[in-house]
Amino acid sequence: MIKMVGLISGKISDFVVLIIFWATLIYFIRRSMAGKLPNLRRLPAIDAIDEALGRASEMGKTVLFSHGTGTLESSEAAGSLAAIAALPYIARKCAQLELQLFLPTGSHTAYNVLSEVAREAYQLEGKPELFNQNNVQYLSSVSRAYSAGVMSTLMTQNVGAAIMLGSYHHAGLMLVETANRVGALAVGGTDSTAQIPWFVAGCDYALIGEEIYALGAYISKDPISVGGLAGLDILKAVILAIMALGVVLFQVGVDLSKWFTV
Amino acid sequence: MSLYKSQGPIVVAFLTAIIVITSNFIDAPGLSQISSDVKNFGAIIAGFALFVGLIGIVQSHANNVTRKKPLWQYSVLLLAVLALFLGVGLIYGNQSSQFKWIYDTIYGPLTATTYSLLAFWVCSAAYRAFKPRSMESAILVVCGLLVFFGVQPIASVISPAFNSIQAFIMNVLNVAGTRGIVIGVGLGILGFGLRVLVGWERSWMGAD
Amino acid sequence: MAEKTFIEKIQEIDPKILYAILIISLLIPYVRPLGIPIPIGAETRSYWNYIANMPEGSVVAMQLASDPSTIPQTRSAHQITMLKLFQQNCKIVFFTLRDDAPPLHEEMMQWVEAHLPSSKKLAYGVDYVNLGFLADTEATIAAIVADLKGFVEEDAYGNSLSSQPMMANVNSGEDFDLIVWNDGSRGIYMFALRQWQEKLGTPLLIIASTINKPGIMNYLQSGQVAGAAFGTEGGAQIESISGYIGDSTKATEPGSLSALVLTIVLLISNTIYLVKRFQTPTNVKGGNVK
Repeated sequence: MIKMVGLISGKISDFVVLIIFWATLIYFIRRSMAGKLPNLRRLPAIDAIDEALGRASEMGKTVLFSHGTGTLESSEAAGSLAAIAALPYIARKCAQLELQLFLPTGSHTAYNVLSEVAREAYQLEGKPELFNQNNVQYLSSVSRAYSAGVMSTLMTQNVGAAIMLGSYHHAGLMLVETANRVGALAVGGTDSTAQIPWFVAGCDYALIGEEIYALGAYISKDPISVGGLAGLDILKAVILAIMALGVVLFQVGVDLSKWFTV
Repeated sequence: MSLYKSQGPIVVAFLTAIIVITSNFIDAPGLSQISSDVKNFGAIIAGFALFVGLIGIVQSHANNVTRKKPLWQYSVLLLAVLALFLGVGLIYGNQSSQFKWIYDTIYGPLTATTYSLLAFWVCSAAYRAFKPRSMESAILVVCGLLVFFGVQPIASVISPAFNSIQAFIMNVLNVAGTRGIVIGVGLGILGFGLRVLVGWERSWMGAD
Repeated sequence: MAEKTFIEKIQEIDPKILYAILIISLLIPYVRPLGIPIPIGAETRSYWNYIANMPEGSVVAMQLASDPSTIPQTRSAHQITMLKLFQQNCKIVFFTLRDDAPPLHEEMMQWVEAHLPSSKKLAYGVDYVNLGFLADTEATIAAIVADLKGFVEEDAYGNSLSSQPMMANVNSGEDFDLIVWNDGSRGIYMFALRQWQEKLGTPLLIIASTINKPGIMNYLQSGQVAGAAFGTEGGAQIESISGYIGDSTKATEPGSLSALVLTIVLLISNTIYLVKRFQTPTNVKGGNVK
């Protein structure tokens, strides 16, 4: 049957794994869409964001939200979009607390998305006059130029809370450090392995890797995101079990990896 | 939003993704050629993103100048330098000595300066953050110092043990940690890709 | 107000003083070189062995994603690799995924041509071809791997690719024997891993800045990346192995000395922190007293 379908030798196991992964994700997403939302534990990051925004409000300062140096058209879009999924919550909180929210971006598509989300958030809170389109800044898709622009905003706009989520290159450290220098409470998270250590070391609260995807899902309560998260957790558990089994079997001379190169 | 605007991009994304994915697994006549063409389209369209970005930058900063928004003077500078690079490149060519001169005089030092700031950020971040407030941060401090110092040639002069220790931390501890993160992020991207494929994820279209 | 103790003064030291100490430590080796020997790391050794053992006539793809800020870290490894491959009569197809990298490539070609023996003259189209800047996406690598000539019809200078003698039998990713990927600090080595090495098994060598080392170590361990040269240290190691001592070797001494200074500063700061913490009285009613 494999020959009939024309599956390429060496890719069969990859194909089977991909189908299983997709089926699992689709199952959990459909389940969520039907109303059976899995429970998500409250992420400590939400408390950190609330604390940061509250502190900025008490001190009469502004808030900066950065979705990363990745554009929405690149392979780093997942991190940027996960960050943007958290923006409605942050924007509404800013509107409630009457905080100015700065939204620098290096992506033209994200510029439109950020503008719409922020404007709608302020409108929903009944404070549309507080939304300032000038605060949505299209800087540059070049990460260094983008980071220079964000650093400038941090240093000149009296920022009290800096929320930096998404995919970052080396720019992440620059932004984290600048936020610390100006005394802003920094909440950061990235899926870029090179930047995670700097976010952990420099931010007042850091999300590591896929926690930024979880944050977006938790905040939005979108059934698709939440269901996808549940599916991914199950898949991670399966992968862990296979890895553990593989390690044990390897000790007795059985190489499980051969099953994944059929 | 009209049907073709709301559903059209999703259909295109789905079809192109399915063609590329199936060509990866299935050896069917003509499929690899179609897949190759699709990949060519993707790469060519991505090249246009530079052009779109250029238009966006010019529009945004021209708007800053005409409306005298805060720091509009920097927008004038940006547009002037943009015009300079474009002008020299178009008139003399991007292989010319004139283009090389402005590249070496303006662009090179500016990017190098921004990157070199990292040295000082690393220094102040390490001084501030590398404090053993808890067990986790103590481990961070110890491992960070051992790797940071151990990778330098001077460490091997002081003692070869530094090199061995940093190699152990990088090859064993670091790989274990980053491998877990990479797997998690990879699964996240897989989930995201599926949502884009099926049309459940629409924010890339500029929609909510 | 009580006078601050020595420890408190050290703890509240102005960062500018630290920067000044750092700058001095960076400058000392330039004034008086220290002659610190450079140990060769396993991944660099592996990288060099691969390059040095490339058979004559092999076709190599070399990608450059460094820019003027990261090229000081990767230049040595990149240009010495080019030189070594040309010395071994390998054919190289150059391309870059950064729009600001082509001038850097031309600089390195000039260095290579200046260091080749006078008997060896490189002929464009026979020894190497330069595709120039290609769009910075994973789709580009996928397109190259699937059908190079279908995707890129002309080289960086406007010449037809098919008319270049060395490209006669180079049509797709399968026709390459090695990929050398200069990642700079971009982190786009995954493009080559996913679209090329994983699909075709073509060996992949990476030159990258040190910031990418933790991520790339995963793939070195699994064998997906055959070797790597990281940052200025990697470049200095390549210079040491090859014998072409240059800027990377000169830069390792300032790096070493400043790292030593920074380590001492960190040890002092942590010692002070621990001393203060253990000096804080405990076991008083109600717990810690601040």
